[in-house]
Amino acid sequence: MPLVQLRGISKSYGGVHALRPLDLEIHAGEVLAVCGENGAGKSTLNKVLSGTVVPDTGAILVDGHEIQLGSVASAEASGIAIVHQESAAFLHLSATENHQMMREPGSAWLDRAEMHRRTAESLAGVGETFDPETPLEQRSLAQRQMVAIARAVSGDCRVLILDEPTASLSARETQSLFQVIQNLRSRGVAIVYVSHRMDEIFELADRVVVLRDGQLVADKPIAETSPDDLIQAMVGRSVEFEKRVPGNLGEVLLDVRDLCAGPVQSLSFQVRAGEVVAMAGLVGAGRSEAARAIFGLDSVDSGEIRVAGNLVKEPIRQGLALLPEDRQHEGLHLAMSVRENLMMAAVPGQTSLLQPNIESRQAEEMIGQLSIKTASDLAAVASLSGGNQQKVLLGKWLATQPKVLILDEPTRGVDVGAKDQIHRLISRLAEQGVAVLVISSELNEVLALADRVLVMQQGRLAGELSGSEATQGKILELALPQNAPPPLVHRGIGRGGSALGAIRVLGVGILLAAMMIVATIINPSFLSIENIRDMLIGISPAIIVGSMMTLVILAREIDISVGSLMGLSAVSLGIAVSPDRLGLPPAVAVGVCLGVGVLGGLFNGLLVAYARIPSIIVTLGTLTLFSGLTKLLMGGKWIEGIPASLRTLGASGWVIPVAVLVALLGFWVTRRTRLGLRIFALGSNPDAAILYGIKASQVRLLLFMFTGLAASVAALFSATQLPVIDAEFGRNFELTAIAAVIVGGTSIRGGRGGILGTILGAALLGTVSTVLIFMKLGPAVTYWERAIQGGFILVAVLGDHLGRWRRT
Amino acid sequence: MKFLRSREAVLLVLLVLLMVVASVLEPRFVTVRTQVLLSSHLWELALVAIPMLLIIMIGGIDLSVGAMLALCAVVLGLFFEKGMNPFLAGVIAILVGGALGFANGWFVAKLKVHPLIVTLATMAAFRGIAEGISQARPISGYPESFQAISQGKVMGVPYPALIFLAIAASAWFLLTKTRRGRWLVAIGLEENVARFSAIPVARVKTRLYAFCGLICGLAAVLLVARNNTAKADLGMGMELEAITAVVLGGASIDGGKGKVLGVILGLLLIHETRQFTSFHWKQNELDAIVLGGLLIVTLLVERILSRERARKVKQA
Repeated sequence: MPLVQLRGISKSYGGVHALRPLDLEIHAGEVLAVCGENGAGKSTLNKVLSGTVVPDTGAILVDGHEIQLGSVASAEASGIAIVHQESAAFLHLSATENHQMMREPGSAWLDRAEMHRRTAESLAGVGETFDPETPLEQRSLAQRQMVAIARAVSGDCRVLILDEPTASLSARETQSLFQVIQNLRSRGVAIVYVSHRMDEIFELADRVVVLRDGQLVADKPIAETSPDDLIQAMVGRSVEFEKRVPGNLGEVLLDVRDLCAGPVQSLSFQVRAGEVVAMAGLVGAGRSEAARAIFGLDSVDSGEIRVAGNLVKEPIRQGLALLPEDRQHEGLHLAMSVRENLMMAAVPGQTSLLQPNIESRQAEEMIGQLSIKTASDLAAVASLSGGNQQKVLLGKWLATQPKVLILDEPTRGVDVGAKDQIHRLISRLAEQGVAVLVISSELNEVLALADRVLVMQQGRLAGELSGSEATQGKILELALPQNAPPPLVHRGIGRGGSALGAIRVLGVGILLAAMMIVATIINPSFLSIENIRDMLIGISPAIIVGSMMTLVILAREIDISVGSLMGLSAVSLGIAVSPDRLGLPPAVAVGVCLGVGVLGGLFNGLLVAYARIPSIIVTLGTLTLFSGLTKLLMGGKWIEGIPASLRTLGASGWVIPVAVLVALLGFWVTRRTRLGLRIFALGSNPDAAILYGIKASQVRLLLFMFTGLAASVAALFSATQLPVIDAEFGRNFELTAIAAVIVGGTSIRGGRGGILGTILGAALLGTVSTVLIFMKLGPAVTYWERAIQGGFILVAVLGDHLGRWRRT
Repeated sequence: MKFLRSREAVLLVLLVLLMVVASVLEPRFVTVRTQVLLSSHLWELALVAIPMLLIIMIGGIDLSVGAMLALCAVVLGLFFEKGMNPFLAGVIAILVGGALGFANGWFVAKLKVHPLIVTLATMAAFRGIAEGISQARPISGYPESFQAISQGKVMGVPYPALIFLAIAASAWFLLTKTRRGRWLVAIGLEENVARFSAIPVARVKTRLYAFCGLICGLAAVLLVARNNTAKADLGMGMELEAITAVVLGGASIDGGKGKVLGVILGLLLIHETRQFTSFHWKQNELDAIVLGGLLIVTLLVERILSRERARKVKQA
């Protein structure tokens, strides 16, 4: 009996069929290769199998038993594991945390030692021995991949899905991956191997299936097929690109000399009028980076770029055009019309007023010239097929009438017919005297088009081949690195331990110490017990709210309603307890106060987590709403008559241990609990969090409730210090809390930072205001307090920027 | 037919409903005289909502508008207090606004800091500076000629209304008729694609934030002239009102979508709701509840509708 059976699985997205009803069997101990063009349905098949996508119809049987569809947990319980593409890693987290995500040992608390042990053991199983406790961003692409593979095969893995696993690996790393795959196969694990690379498929696979337009069009043992067969099945007919006949060459139009930019190292080459030069190399060899630097999008470290003899200042006006590789995120505005896209880059003769008639004519011409199939020039580009979108992208840049045209993967994800048309067009442009540079990972495309081939390897020009001497073998020989590439190192504010995080916490700590020394010099009584106690009482609310705010910001959300929720909680407390109003017992009033906080947080959380309205907007709305409710409850009067029992709550300094407790709780959540791991995962990579099966909505809801509760706790202790409660209470406190978090080094983009920084940030802000009072500048100085808080955030932001700039 | 399903139509219907209810409960509220009188509370906010729309359209946000307005007002007041001609002080205030906005833009565009953080920080910093340099005291006593800026009329239309209409019309023209307007949409929809299209994204951003500052300066002059006083607590909460008007008007908070007409209707809805509640119940406390509630309910309804639409497409 087959290990896994897929029966009648289909899936469509908004009317587009990603998978048509499909049957497939997977047997234990076989390597099943899955191939197909982009958009053929391979990744949808993976997602259905691994439980991240619910199919529209069909069933999956493991050992003859039906499993629950669309559940990562259920797929994993049946032994189906997937290695996602590289983009699905949590780069801010360590290898251990990535490896153990969603399968942590023990209960809600993390057993870090056990996690480490399991990860190290599992990594050793795939031949890796590096320290798994450093953040993944400091590891090479290959090591990240190995972490994902080790994660997938640990535990009771019976089916392993690998999605283009070698896309960013060197030849040597690829071989060690293959060794791992062979070992797994001999253990009886079924491997589903998605790849474009024919050599890999024929080296590794036992059986191969081909998908085309969501349908299974071939299913054969590897011995009964050939690469040509497979390609024919993938595209629906045989492919033989026509070899371009080189034309006459003119003057040098693009001249690049000693270009250094990011990974690109001293790159020099020229392209002449009428010439088509191809740039080949592996993914990550620095080809796209070179193109971006030439076009002026990335900064150039050194070197010269000339177009027709002149240094490049205004790329488009000087006749330089770059057709980027990622159509969706770099090339086209999919939501805008064909016409708007065609006219987006500055077309010669364009005026600053829109001229619909002229644009319409120009767009129609381009549509005709490139035979773009579209309902009209006003149709949204998103409604076009991939090939036609690519033609629109070409048209957008042809409209600028370039002298030098750089094309980065010009035929990615288009069908063979459109590919052929684009190739012809490139030839025609060269005949018209355009200098063309084609970056392509498809070797047959390189061979068909190029008069000359430049081969890049690890940011350097590894060699140059003339069109007649170039062969697939020679290009690959130059392109493959002899040694593994050096690990990519990005520095950043990581979790506690990593470089900049520690520097930042240290920096704030040093600044804090310096401030305290200054204060002691100005007035020795700064270090008196009374003053320190007063200061601690003063910063405690900021620590209470800031700690929970840290968690919210770590998860890439924000809550700016905390100040106004503090006001609402305090007023609820006052109204409940004040003899002029309800006159309830103090204990009940405290309950009311905390209840209001939790409810307010719950309201925010529901809107953010389940209605998916951006948290900044939700909390901007509730900020107003809560403060309106506060005013309404107050009815224009102050609240007096807080009973003595509650007054001691504020005056006795009880708030200090409470703040310590909340901070410890926050610290413990971030470091020691599953919830903390989920928070960092969400902030680090929200899309990946979903692939791992993290319940993002629950985490968000919980965080906003925590923050609401923290706001009411802070309100409880600070409002009871006051003789009266007025409508201004809590106003702008969100600013204090956020300032403490940001100054403490937590990144507003989520995933980096921690509670320790927030505590130091709050202490720094508190010390600054005390120092200002100690300087005896009179009451005038209190008016500057807010300016100083805002200034601190700006300085922190500026410091980060300068830090980044100095390291690069 | 298409108009009926647009945001503008929804707002118009709500507005008409409100006015019908109002005319039953408070016939005096729905008269030209009352409306013109009450409209004086609208213009500063309306002015600020226009640059806010443009900034939100490129996917940004400016929380510092109220604080910029306060700082500009205080600068005007202090220069006037030192004996400067109030009109000249007004011009300086507007330029200061431009400089403040430029600072926001510089942080956002050049340092690539999230606009939320930048303007949250400058919101505090600008308001704090306004409080610091003025010691939070009001500065009053402007000559009648200066107060006339907000009270003068041309054929029954107040000056501030004319200024607003001119700026709103320019924004409409920019967005619908010019290439730069298309750039804003392009940046808001997908900033990276805009950059790859050689649109000067950083310059556009810096200029928009600077423009926003200029308009805040202008609004500060009008507000000081209207109240005959400059104080550091002016424009408190204005950022929220402006953002609410823009979002109510149908602009997407993620950028790329928005209309001047929608914003105007959003402004009117906010203005009339708030004026009517205080006219009828004689208290201002309901203001904030209505404002916050309107924002949340609009977004919630929109999310539900768009989900419904997505479900229908899926079924088809």
